[in-house]
Amino acid sequence: MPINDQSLLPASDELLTRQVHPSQMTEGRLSSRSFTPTDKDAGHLSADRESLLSPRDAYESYLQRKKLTEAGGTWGVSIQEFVILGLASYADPIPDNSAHVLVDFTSVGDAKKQQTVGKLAYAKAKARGRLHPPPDSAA
Amino acid sequence: MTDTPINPEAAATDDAFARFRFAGGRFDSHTIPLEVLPDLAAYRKLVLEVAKMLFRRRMGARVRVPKGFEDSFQIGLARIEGGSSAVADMPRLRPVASPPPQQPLKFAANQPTFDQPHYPDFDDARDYIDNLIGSVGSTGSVPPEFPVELAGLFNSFGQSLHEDEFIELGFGGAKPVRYDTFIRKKIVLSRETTYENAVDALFVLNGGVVAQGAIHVLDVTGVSFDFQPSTEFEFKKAYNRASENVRLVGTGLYDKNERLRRLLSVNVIYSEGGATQPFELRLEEIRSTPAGWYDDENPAPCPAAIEAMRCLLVDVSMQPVPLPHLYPLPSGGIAAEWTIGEWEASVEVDETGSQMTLNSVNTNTGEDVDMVIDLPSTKLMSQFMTFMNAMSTDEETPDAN
Repeated sequence: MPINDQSLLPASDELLTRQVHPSQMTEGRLSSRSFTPTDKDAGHLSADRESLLSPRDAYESYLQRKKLTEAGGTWGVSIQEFVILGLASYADPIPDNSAHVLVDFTSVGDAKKQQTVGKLAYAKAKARGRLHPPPDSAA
Repeated sequence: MTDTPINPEAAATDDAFARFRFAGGRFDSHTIPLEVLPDLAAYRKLVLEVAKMLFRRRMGARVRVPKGFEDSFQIGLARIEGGSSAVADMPRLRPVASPPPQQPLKFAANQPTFDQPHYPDFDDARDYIDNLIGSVGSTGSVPPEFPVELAGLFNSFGQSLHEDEFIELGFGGAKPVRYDTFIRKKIVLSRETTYENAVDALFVLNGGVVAQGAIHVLDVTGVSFDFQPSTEFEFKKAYNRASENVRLVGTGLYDKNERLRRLLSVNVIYSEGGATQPFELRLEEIRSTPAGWYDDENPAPCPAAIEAMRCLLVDVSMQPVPLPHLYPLPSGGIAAEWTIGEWEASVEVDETGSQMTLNSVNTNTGEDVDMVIDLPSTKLMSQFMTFMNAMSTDEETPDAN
């Protein structure tokens, strides 16, 4: 994983987006775990760069990959907002997704601390609202 | 409110006993909400009772309706057609063939008894009801000859209608008539002192009587009412949460001055916000989440974790705490989450169902609270309440969403 100075993304308003599985949405509420790395992620949260993959395209790609007809949608936190939370973001293009990035949560401490900071990131995404499908459409 | 009839010709069916057009409010979406269906069953009951009355008028007051009279009248919902409103076609159903009686073999005895007498009283009853409603609609009063004993039957027919909605009876016929909450109330109160209508108001829980399963509540003016929750669980919850403000939604008995006299059947909506879906239903949804839902390799939610969460939520329901939103975790565990003011809180049960992790963070200040509880724990609820209270010290009543 290219967690190094060359791949570090400078602080900006660019959004890093996440896809949400239908089970992570209930009564229109997004799970606060949506912006926290899982144990398997080893502290590195996967996301997509909005500048390279639109929220709509990211959503459609997710539906195709997961064989779903609808999902919880595309949600985003800016690189700058991650920086304020003490999290650096790194470009990490992979064969089927050149927009792939990693947000490094290892800097904030153990899994418990990562969950706390993940909730703060989630609050930013929630305040911004769903990027796609538009909030007033059924998803 | 939309009141543009759909094309009656397009909606017509030859064998419809009754054809209703539902219009306004919820029906503008061209569907009939399921909660309206009891009105159709109430209509059948109304027709039946009016038909009995007409039969007695026809045959003499002392003559009983013949055996099989009631069973000969069945109507069903054949189809619903949308437009700018919704039309329901209700044909008469053929009576179910009864098995042949046990008797010596004869040719005719083995034939199902399909043929029942066709009583004209049901068609007459339908027309009687249409005429009554039409008369009340045009004159504003109920004809004096309308029998006292039938007024109460209008309590149930049309009870689900909102004020901006109506049913057009006889839709597509020569004389369609409009039936709404005003006409229903007018008919019922013409012969009774109270009528049934929807309840949707704020009350304060005020204890109850365990032996009777009755809960006391006070309305906003301090007037006391009782109701009986439908389950023991709901009774305990309401009983344990005395002094809380709640919303009651259901049916009540009102007098001519629109004053509520009695609660008949109500559900309690607790006012703390949080999840509104019953947690048992949400747990069932989570239970059916397949393995691989997150990354193709993650396990399905573990039954032990779901059961541990269910046990917690049964106890949480008895406390003045919002119900959480529930989510499966990629690990096979399960999470309960609350947004309480500026706080984001969660309780996570691990995949073995043997440990709970409680975490909350104030999204404004960054202050956080962490606890770990090994299960089973006799102090679970006291620890849980300590956790919740740590977030609500600056807010008397947690308000979640």
